Amino acid sequence: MASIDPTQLSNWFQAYSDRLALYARQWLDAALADDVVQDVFLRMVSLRTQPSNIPAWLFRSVRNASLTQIRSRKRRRLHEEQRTTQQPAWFEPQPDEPISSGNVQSALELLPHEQREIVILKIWGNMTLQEVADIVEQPISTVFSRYRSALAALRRIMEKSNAK
Amino acid sequence: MQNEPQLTSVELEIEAAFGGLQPAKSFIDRDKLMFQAGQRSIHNRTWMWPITTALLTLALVFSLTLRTRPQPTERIQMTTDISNPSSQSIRQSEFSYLKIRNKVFTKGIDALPVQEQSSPANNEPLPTIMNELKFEDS
Repeated sequence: MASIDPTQLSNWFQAYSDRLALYARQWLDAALADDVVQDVFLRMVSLRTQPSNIPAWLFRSVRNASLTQIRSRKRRRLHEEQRTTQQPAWFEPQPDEPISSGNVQSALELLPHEQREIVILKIWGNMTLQEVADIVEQPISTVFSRYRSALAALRRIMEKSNAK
Repeated sequence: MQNEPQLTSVELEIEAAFGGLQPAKSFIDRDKLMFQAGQRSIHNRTWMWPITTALLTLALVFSLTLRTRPQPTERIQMTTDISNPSSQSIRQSEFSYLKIRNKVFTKGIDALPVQEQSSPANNEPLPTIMNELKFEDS
Protein backbone atom coordinates (compact mmCIF):
# COMPACT_ATOMS: atom_id res chain seq x y z
CA MET A 1 0.00 0.00 0.00
CA ALA A 2 1.21 3.51 -0.71
CA SER A 3 2.09 5.99 1.99
CA ILE A 4 -0.73 7.71 3.82
CA ASP A 5 -2.29 10.81 2.27
CA PRO A 6 -3.52 13.91 4.15
CA THR A 7 -7.18 12.93 4.02
CA GLN A 8 -6.48 9.52 5.47
CA LEU A 9 -4.27 11.04 8.14
CA SER A 10 -7.00 13.46 9.10
CA ASN A 11 -9.55 10.65 9.33
CA TRP A 12 -7.32 8.48 11.47
CA PHE A 13 -6.53 11.43 13.69
CA GLN A 14 -10.18 12.24 14.17
CA ALA A 15 -11.05 8.64 14.97
CA TYR A 16 -8.17 7.72 17.24
CA SER A 17 -6.35 10.71 18.71
CA ASP A 18 -8.47 10.81 21.89
CA ARG A 19 -8.26 7.05 22.43
CA LEU A 20 -4.51 7.09 21.87
CA ALA A 21 -4.11 9.96 24.30
CA LEU A 22 -6.14 8.02 26.89
CA TYR A 23 -3.90 5.02 26.31
CA ALA A 24 -0.73 7.08 26.71
CA ARG A 25 -2.02 8.79 29.82
CA GLN A 26 -1.76 5.65 31.88
CA TRP A 27 2.01 6.21 31.73
CA LEU A 28 2.41 9.91 31.06
CA ASP A 29 0.87 13.20 32.05
CA ALA A 30 -1.62 14.79 29.66
CA ALA A 31 0.82 17.14 27.89
CA LEU A 32 3.45 14.49 27.31
CA ALA A 33 0.82 11.99 26.24
CA ASP A 34 -0.37 14.46 23.59
CA ASP A 35 3.20 14.98 22.41
CA VAL A 36 3.73 11.25 22.04
CA VAL A 37 0.48 10.82 20.11
CA GLN A 38 1.36 13.72 17.82
CA ASP A 39 4.80 12.28 17.12
CA VAL A 40 3.28 8.92 16.29
CA PHE A 41 0.96 10.47 13.72
CA LEU A 42 3.86 12.37 12.18
CA ARG A 43 5.87 9.16 12.07
CA MET A 44 3.02 7.51 10.21
CA VAL A 45 3.35 10.15 7.50
CA SER A 46 6.98 9.17 7.02
CA LEU A 47 6.17 5.54 6.41
CA ARG A 48 6.75 4.46 2.80
CA THR A 49 3.85 2.01 2.95
CA GLN A 50 0.79 2.01 5.14
CA PRO A 51 0.66 -0.60 7.90
CA SER A 52 -1.81 -3.37 7.22
CA ASN A 53 -3.57 -2.66 10.52
CA ILE A 54 -3.31 1.06 11.19
CA PRO A 55 -5.14 1.20 14.56
CA ALA A 56 -2.98 -1.58 15.96
CA TRP A 57 0.11 0.14 14.60
CA LEU A 58 -0.94 3.40 16.25
CA PHE A 59 -1.50 1.85 19.65
CA ARG A 60 1.70 -0.18 19.46
CA SER A 61 3.69 2.91 18.49
CA VAL A 62 2.15 4.97 21.30
CA ARG A 63 2.95 2.19 23.75
CA ASN A 64 6.57 1.97 22.65
CA ALA A 65 7.02 5.73 22.67
CA SER A 66 5.40 6.05 26.09
CA LEU A 67 7.55 3.34 27.60
CA THR A 68 10.63 4.99 26.10
CA GLN A 69 9.66 8.22 27.77
CA ILE A 70 8.95 6.59 31.12
CA ARG A 71 12.27 4.70 31.11
CA SER A 72 14.19 7.91 30.95
CA ARG A 73 15.28 8.86 34.45
CA LYS A 74 14.56 12.44 33.89
CA ARG A 75 11.07 11.69 32.68
CA ARG A 76 10.45 9.32 35.55
CA ARG A 77 11.17 12.06 38.06
CA LEU A 78 8.98 14.45 36.12
CA HIS A 79 6.26 11.81 35.92
CA GLU A 80 6.28 11.39 39.69
CA GLU A 81 6.11 15.11 40.18
CA GLN A 82 3.31 15.52 37.69
CA ARG A 83 1.22 12.88 39.39
CA THR A 84 0.90 15.18 42.36
CA THR A 85 -0.36 18.02 40.21
CA GLN A 86 -3.89 18.08 38.96
CA GLN A 87 -4.32 16.37 35.64
CA PRO A 88 -7.24 16.65 33.24
CA ALA A 89 -9.89 13.96 33.51
CA TRP A 90 -9.54 10.86 31.37
CA PHE A 91 -13.14 10.87 30.18
CA GLU A 92 -15.61 13.49 29.03
CA PRO A 93 -18.16 14.05 31.78
CA GLN A 94 -21.66 13.58 30.48
CA PRO A 95 -24.97 14.54 32.03
CA ASP A 96 -27.00 11.65 33.29
CA GLU A 97 -24.21 9.19 32.68
CA PRO A 98 -25.10 5.69 33.99
CA ILE A 99 -21.70 5.39 35.60
CA SER A 100 -19.58 8.23 36.88
CA SER A 101 -16.63 8.95 34.59
CA GLY A 102 -14.63 10.08 37.60
CA ASN A 103 -15.30 6.80 39.38
CA VAL A 104 -14.28 4.85 36.30
CA GLN A 105 -11.03 6.76 36.08
CA SER A 106 -10.34 6.12 39.76
CA ALA A 107 -11.14 2.44 39.32
CA LEU A 108 -8.83 2.16 36.34
CA GLU A 109 -6.03 3.85 38.23
CA LEU A 110 -6.37 1.23 40.96
CA LEU A 111 -5.90 -1.64 38.53
CA PRO A 112 -2.49 -3.24 38.03
CA HIS A 113 -0.79 -1.72 35.06
CA GLU A 114 -0.93 -4.84 32.87
CA GLN A 115 -4.69 -5.17 33.41
CA ARG A 116 -5.40 -1.46 32.89
CA GLU A 117 -3.54 -1.46 29.58
CA ILE A 118 -5.57 -4.38 28.28
CA VAL A 119 -8.88 -2.86 29.41
CA ILE A 120 -8.15 0.45 27.67
CA LEU A 121 -7.08 -1.28 24.45
CA LYS A 122 -10.07 -3.61 24.46
CA ILE A 123 -12.85 -1.24 25.45
CA TRP A 124 -11.78 2.18 24.17
CA GLY A 125 -9.27 1.09 21.55
CA ASN A 126 -11.80 -1.37 20.06
CA MET A 127 -9.03 -3.90 19.63
CA THR A 128 -9.71 -7.59 19.37
CA LEU A 129 -8.09 -9.88 21.90
CA GLN A 130 -5.61 -11.02 19.27
CA GLU A 131 -4.68 -7.44 18.44
CA VAL A 132 -4.27 -6.66 22.13
CA ALA A 133 -2.07 -9.73 22.51
CA ASP A 134 0.11 -8.55 19.61
CA ILE A 135 0.43 -5.05 21.04
CA VAL A 136 1.32 -6.07 24.60
CA GLU A 137 3.33 -9.04 23.33
CA GLN A 138 1.57 -11.59 25.49
CA PRO A 139 -0.24 -14.83 24.64
CA ILE A 140 -3.92 -14.42 23.93
CA SER A 141 -4.80 -16.69 26.83
CA THR A 142 -2.87 -14.45 29.21
CA VAL A 143 -4.53 -11.37 27.78
CA PHE A 144 -7.99 -12.89 28.13
CA SER A 145 -7.32 -13.97 31.68
CA ARG A 146 -6.08 -10.52 32.65
CA TYR A 147 -9.01 -8.89 30.92
CA ARG A 148 -11.56 -10.95 32.80
CA SER A 149 -9.75 -10.26 36.04
CA ALA A 150 -9.76 -6.54 35.25
CA LEU A 151 -13.49 -6.52 34.50
CA ALA A 152 -14.20 -8.33 37.76
CA ALA A 153 -12.02 -5.90 39.69
CA LEU A 154 -13.67 -2.91 38.05
CA ARG A 155 -17.07 -4.29 38.87
CA ARG A 156 -16.13 -4.70 42.54
CA ILE A 157 -14.65 -1.22 42.72
CA MET A 158 -17.67 0.35 41.07
CA GLU A 159 -20.07 -1.52 43.35
CA LYS A 160 -18.10 -0.40 46.36
CA SER A 161 -18.00 3.23 45.22
CA ASN A 162 -21.72 3.19 44.37
CA ALA A 163 -22.49 1.77 47.80
CA LYS A 164 -20.83 4.75 49.51
CA MET B 1 -12.53 -13.08 16.01
CA GLN B 2 -14.50 -16.35 15.85
CA ASN B 3 -11.70 -18.20 17.64
CA GLU B 4 -11.43 -15.64 20.42
CA PRO B 5 -12.66 -16.67 23.86
CA GLN B 6 -16.05 -15.29 24.75
CA LEU B 7 -17.04 -13.24 27.79
CA THR B 8 -19.99 -14.01 29.99
CA SER B 9 -23.13 -11.93 29.70
CA VAL B 10 -22.25 -10.07 32.92
CA GLU B 11 -18.80 -9.28 31.62
CA LEU B 12 -20.29 -8.08 28.34
CA GLU B 13 -22.61 -5.74 30.26
CA ILE B 14 -19.72 -4.26 32.19
CA GLU B 15 -17.78 -3.89 28.96
CA ALA B 16 -20.68 -2.07 27.32
CA ALA B 17 -21.20 0.21 30.32
CA PHE B 18 -17.58 1.31 30.37
CA GLY B 19 -17.53 1.59 26.59
CA GLY B 20 -20.22 4.25 26.79
CA LEU B 21 -17.74 6.71 28.25
CA GLN B 22 -15.96 8.96 25.78
CA PRO B 23 -12.23 9.58 26.19
CA ALA B 24 -11.43 13.21 26.93
CA LYS B 25 -10.45 15.34 23.96
CA SER B 26 -6.73 15.60 23.46
CA PHE B 27 -5.15 19.02 23.22
CA ILE B 28 -3.31 18.21 20.01
CA ASP B 29 -3.69 21.01 17.49
CA ARG B 30 -5.04 19.23 14.43
CA ASP B 31 -4.20 22.04 12.00
CA LYS B 32 -0.64 22.24 13.29
CA LEU B 33 -0.31 18.48 12.97
CA MET B 34 -1.54 18.53 9.38
CA PHE B 35 0.86 21.35 8.54
CA GLN B 36 3.81 19.47 10.04
CA ALA B 37 2.70 16.31 8.28
CA GLY B 38 2.66 18.16 4.98
CA GLN B 39 6.13 19.55 5.60
CA ARG B 40 7.43 16.14 6.49
CA SER B 41 5.98 14.49 3.41
CA ILE B 42 7.52 17.20 1.17
CA HIS B 43 10.84 16.77 2.94
CA ASN B 44 10.69 13.05 2.28
CA ARG B 45 9.98 13.65 -1.41
CA THR B 46 12.63 16.38 -1.95
CA TRP B 47 15.36 14.06 -0.80
CA MET B 48 14.48 11.53 -3.44
CA TRP B 49 15.70 13.49 -6.45
CA PRO B 50 19.04 14.66 -5.04
CA ILE B 51 19.81 11.13 -3.91
CA THR B 52 18.83 9.73 -7.28
CA THR B 53 20.94 12.34 -9.08
CA ALA B 54 23.92 11.67 -6.84
CA LEU B 55 23.67 7.93 -7.42
CA LEU B 56 23.44 8.34 -11.19
CA THR B 57 26.41 10.73 -11.16
CA LEU B 58 28.45 8.24 -9.20
CA ALA B 59 27.49 5.48 -11.59
CA LEU B 60 28.52 7.64 -14.55
CA VAL B 61 31.89 8.57 -13.03
CA PHE B 62 32.49 4.95 -12.13
CA SER B 63 31.74 3.73 -15.62
CA LEU B 64 33.95 6.41 -17.19
CA THR B 65 36.94 5.57 -15.02
CA LEU B 66 36.59 1.88 -15.60
CA ARG B 67 35.99 2.17 -19.32
CA THR B 68 38.65 0.17 -21.17
CA ARG B 69 40.97 1.90 -23.57
CA PRO B 70 39.90 1.59 -27.17
CA GLN B 71 41.45 -1.44 -28.75
CA PRO B 72 44.02 -0.60 -31.35
CA THR B 73 42.48 -1.12 -34.70
CA GLU B 74 44.45 -2.90 -37.30
CA ARG B 75 45.01 -1.00 -40.43
CA ILE B 76 46.44 -2.51 -43.50
CA GLN B 77 48.65 0.00 -45.20
CA MET B 78 49.83 -0.64 -48.65
CA THR B 79 53.47 0.26 -49.09
CA THR B 80 55.58 0.14 -52.20
CA ASP B 81 58.75 -1.89 -52.17
CA ILE B 82 61.48 0.14 -53.79
CA SER B 83 63.61 -2.93 -54.51
CA ASN B 84 60.82 -4.53 -56.51
CA PRO B 85 61.23 -3.66 -60.21
CA SER B 86 57.52 -4.06 -60.94
CA SER B 87 56.61 -1.46 -58.38
CA GLN B 88 59.16 0.87 -59.97
CA SER B 89 57.63 0.45 -63.35
CA ILE B 90 54.16 1.19 -61.87
CA ARG B 91 55.43 4.47 -60.53
CA GLN B 92 57.10 5.26 -63.83
CA SER B 93 53.92 4.46 -65.71
CA GLU B 94 51.89 6.69 -63.42
CA PHE B 95 54.42 9.48 -63.85
CA SER B 96 54.40 9.22 -67.66
CA TYR B 97 50.59 9.14 -67.67
CA LEU B 98 50.40 12.29 -65.64
CA LYS B 99 52.99 13.92 -67.85
CA ILE B 100 51.07 13.09 -70.98
CA ARG B 101 47.84 14.22 -69.43
CA ASN B 102 49.24 17.57 -68.50
CA LYS B 103 50.60 18.01 -72.02
CA VAL B 104 47.20 17.29 -73.48
CA PHE B 105 45.60 19.78 -71.10
CA THR B 106 48.05 22.49 -72.05
CA LYS B 107 48.69 21.82 -75.75
CA GLY B 108 45.72 19.87 -76.87
CA ILE B 109 45.16 16.39 -78.25
CA ASP B 110 48.01 16.76 -80.72
CA ALA B 111 50.40 16.54 -77.83
CA LEU B 112 49.67 12.86 -77.50
CA PRO B 113 52.81 10.89 -78.43
CA VAL B 114 52.67 8.75 -81.49
CA GLN B 115 52.91 5.13 -80.61
CA GLU B 116 56.05 3.63 -82.04
CA GLN B 117 55.66 0.38 -83.82
CA SER B 118 57.46 -2.31 -81.99
CA SER B 119 59.92 -4.57 -83.84
CA PRO B 120 58.75 -8.02 -84.58
CA ALA B 121 61.45 -9.33 -82.36
CA ASN B 122 60.06 -7.42 -79.52
CA ASN B 123 56.75 -8.95 -78.84
CA GLU B 124 56.47 -7.51 -75.43
CA PRO B 125 53.43 -5.31 -75.08
CA LEU B 126 53.91 -1.65 -74.36
CA PRO B 127 54.11 -0.95 -70.68
CA THR B 128 50.72 0.02 -69.39
CA ILE B 129 49.43 0.36 -65.90
CA MET B 130 47.28 -2.69 -66.24
CA ASN B 131 50.19 -4.69 -67.60
CA GLU B 132 52.42 -3.49 -64.85
CA LEU B 133 49.92 -4.42 -62.15
CA LYS B 134 50.00 -7.91 -63.61
CA PHE B 135 46.73 -9.19 -62.28
CA GLU B 136 46.90 -12.89 -62.39
CA ASP B 137 43.95 -14.92 -63.28
CA SER B 138 42.89 -17.03 -60.40
